[in-house]
Amino acid sequence: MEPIAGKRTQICDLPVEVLEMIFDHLAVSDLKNASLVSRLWSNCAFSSQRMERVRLKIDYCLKEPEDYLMLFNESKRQYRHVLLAYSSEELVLEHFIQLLQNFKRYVKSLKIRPNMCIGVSQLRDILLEVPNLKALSVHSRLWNSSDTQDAPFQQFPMLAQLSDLVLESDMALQLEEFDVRLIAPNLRSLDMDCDSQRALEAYKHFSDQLTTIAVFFKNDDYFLRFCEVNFPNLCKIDFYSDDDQFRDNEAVRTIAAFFARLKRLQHATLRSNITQPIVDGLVGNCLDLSYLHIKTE
Amino acid sequence: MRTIQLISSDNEFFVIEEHLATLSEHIKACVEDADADETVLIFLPIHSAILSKVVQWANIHKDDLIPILDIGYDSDNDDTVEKCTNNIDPKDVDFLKDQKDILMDLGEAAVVLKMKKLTKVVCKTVANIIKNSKSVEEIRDTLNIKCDFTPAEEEQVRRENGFLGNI
Repeated sequence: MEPIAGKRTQICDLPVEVLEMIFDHLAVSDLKNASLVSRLWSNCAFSSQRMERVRLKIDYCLKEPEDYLMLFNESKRQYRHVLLAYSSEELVLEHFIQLLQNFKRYVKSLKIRPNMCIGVSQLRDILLEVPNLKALSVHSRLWNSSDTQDAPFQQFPMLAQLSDLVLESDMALQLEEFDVRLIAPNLRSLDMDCDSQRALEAYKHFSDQLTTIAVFFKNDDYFLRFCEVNFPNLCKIDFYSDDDQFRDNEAVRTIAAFFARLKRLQHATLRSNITQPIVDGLVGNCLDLSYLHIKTE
Repeated sequence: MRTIQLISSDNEFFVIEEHLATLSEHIKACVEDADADETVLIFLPIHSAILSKVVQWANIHKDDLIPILDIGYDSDNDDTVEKCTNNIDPKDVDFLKDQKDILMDLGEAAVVLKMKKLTKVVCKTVANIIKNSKSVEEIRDTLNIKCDFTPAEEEQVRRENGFLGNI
């Protein structure tokens, strides 16, 4: 091949849109390498829609709060997905809220994930910082931590964009202060046990608007009453119960009728030893069903 | 019959077939208003050495029935996953194997000519170079990029990256 005259084009001569297009093809681990190449690459690698694929993990068991603060006060990245983990003894709430100030407008999803306790007022203080939240996942157990005995409890914010909620237990709902109906009026997806009257009421309240649920019954107290609720728009269900109910004919009819009413169901995972009438009800009535996973023991 | 001629920055003429117009938004726009028997001259800020390669690439795709990179399986509309790089047309893999030195020139030409498909192929190829590099240093060497970080800046990025994971 004859040599080509003139100066060769380098990658840095290409418009930044092309660089973005290249980076859209990289996994997070490759983006980390790319971000270490140069200033331009560093600014570009973790920006725009690539941030949809990145989760920032703040784990106070691994690093001191001050270290995180120092590091992220220097950061220009606009994190959208954040995970908070903390040790059993203390939730370093003030530090975390201070940290959030660097990118809180952009935060769309928040996971709080130790199996420890978190005070209801602490959760409220965090949620007050993230008005644009779309997905919230709380694996901690909520407990009542009124600010002071005298002062009235400051309300939770109403998060209009919050559509996905995971509550590890329905303990939170037992607290007067935590009213999920007011916090997340536009909820579409709920992942929560249903072992209490208030949990059942929450499911009933949202029944018309929910498209996705993951519901576990640790005991049978509310199981059949749950099965009397209508979910006309439900597309996806993950359902766990023990087997006691499946021996009683009356109960089986209620459960089968529950599934038969889910006309829009597309995706079902059933974690119980369900019986033939229930499968028949599903297959015969849920005409959009394209995925059925039955996990028996 | 309509004739389309591309003129390179060093004044070489390339007579091209109509099908190239379908691969380039720029050429398509230039040709659109021309009459059926006109000769269209298009001046381009692209050197003949590169332009000839672009024409060669276009000719490889002359007989494509479906522009395979523009359909379905490219997960193009889903921001929650990275786009694939293992679906490059074998003909393009073959063609670009011999064009390593002018990969970025082809990319630049693709941008000027608004050739979506060629741009995409170049991007996927560069992405694969990054993926297959064993170190940051190797990326810089292969793609000829100068590190302009101060040691403190580089350390900041490195430490911050340590707290990032997948969704």
